[in-house]
Amino acid sequence: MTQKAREETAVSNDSGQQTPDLRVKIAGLTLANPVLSASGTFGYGREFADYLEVGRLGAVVVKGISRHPRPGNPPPRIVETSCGMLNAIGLENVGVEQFLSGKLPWLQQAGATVVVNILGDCLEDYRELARRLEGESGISAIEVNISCPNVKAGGVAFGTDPAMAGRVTAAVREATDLPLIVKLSPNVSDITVMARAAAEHGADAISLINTLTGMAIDLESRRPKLANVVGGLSGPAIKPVALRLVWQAAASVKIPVIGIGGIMNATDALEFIVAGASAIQVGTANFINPQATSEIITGIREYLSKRQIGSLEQLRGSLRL
Amino acid sequence: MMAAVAAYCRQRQWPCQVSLETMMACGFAACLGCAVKTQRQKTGYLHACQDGPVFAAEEISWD
Repeated sequence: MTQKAREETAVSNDSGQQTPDLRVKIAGLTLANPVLSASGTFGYGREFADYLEVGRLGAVVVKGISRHPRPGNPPPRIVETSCGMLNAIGLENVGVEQFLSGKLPWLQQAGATVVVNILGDCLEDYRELARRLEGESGISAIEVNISCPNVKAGGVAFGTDPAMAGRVTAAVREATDLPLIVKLSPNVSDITVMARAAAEHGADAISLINTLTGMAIDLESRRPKLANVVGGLSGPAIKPVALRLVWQAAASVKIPVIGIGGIMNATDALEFIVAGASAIQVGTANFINPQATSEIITGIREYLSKRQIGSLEQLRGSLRL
Repeated sequence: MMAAVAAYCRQRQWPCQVSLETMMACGFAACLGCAVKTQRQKTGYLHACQDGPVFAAEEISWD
C-alpha cells in the first residue's frame, strides 16, 4: 500500500498517530465499525447499558419483533451444550407498537444505529411490519428473520425453501425503502442458492448464520431437555460451520455479507472478515461477557494497527487459497 | 419441592414466597431464557432473573 493510500483510508488521532479505518458500508449505510449485536442476544439494547456504551457498536440488532406481542415457548428454554448452548425462546417479544413507543426512544437517545429484526407467520406479517417501520425515525435498517415457519403454507420455514425466501424478501422490499438485510438459516443443503434468492429479490445484504437446529435429551427421564424438544445451537461450537457458510455465501453474491456464528473475540471476528464478511454479529458471547462487542471493536483496531493495515476493507475476503 | 411447599401453605392460607432456579444464559433480561409460568397468563411468562428469583407462590403456575 502506498503512503498516499494509507493517508486516505486512515484517520489521524490526537497524538498524530494513524488509527485504522473501521468504517463499513452496508446496504447504503456507513457503520462506524463492523461489530453488531446479533438479534436475540442483546435484548433491546438498554439491558447492556450498565456494561458498555451501546452507541459505540456498529449497530444494535434488536430482539426479533413481530406485529403483535408473543409470549414465547414454555420453559425450559435453554440448555448448555459442549462449547455452546441450545435455545428455544420462541421469539418472545413486545410487538412492534410497544417496541416503537417503549424501546426505540432509549436506543435513539443512546446514539445507537438501530437495525430492527422482523419475523412473521406469513408474508403479510413481514409486509405489514416493514410498512410500519418505514418512516419511523431512528431505524437504520431492517433485518428479516426467515427462519420461521410459514403457518399459511404448511409450516415450512421460509428460510429453507429458496422460492419462499425469495418471496418474503420481495414482499419486504416492496414495502420499504429502508436498507434490507436478510438473515439466512444454515439448515439448508446449499447456502449459495439461498444467498442468491435473497440477492435477486432485493436484499441489500445478507447475514448468516442463524442457529443450527439441534436437540438434547435427559437420559434419566428420557425426556427432551427443551420443552420445545428442538432448539437452536449457538456458541463457539458452530464457528467452523459458520465460517464455511459465510465463505461460500460471500463468493456467490455481490451484496455485502454479515458473518455470524460463535464469534467470541476479535480473532474470531477477523477470521470472518478474511472469509469475505463485510461486518460481523456477536451473539452468544454477549451472555458470557456483556462487554464482548466493545472488546472486539478494540481488538480489531489493535490488530489492524499492529500490522499497519489502514482499513478493514483491505482485509475483507483476503483469504489465501 | 417448591410446588409441594406452595400447596402446603395454600391449604393453611399461609403467605408463601419461593426462590426459583432456572437455566439462565445472561442473568440480566437479555436472553429471556429463564421463563417462569405465571398465573397471569395475559402477561405471558415471568423471568427469574428480572422478576424474581423470589416470587409470591400464588403468582406461579405450578402445573
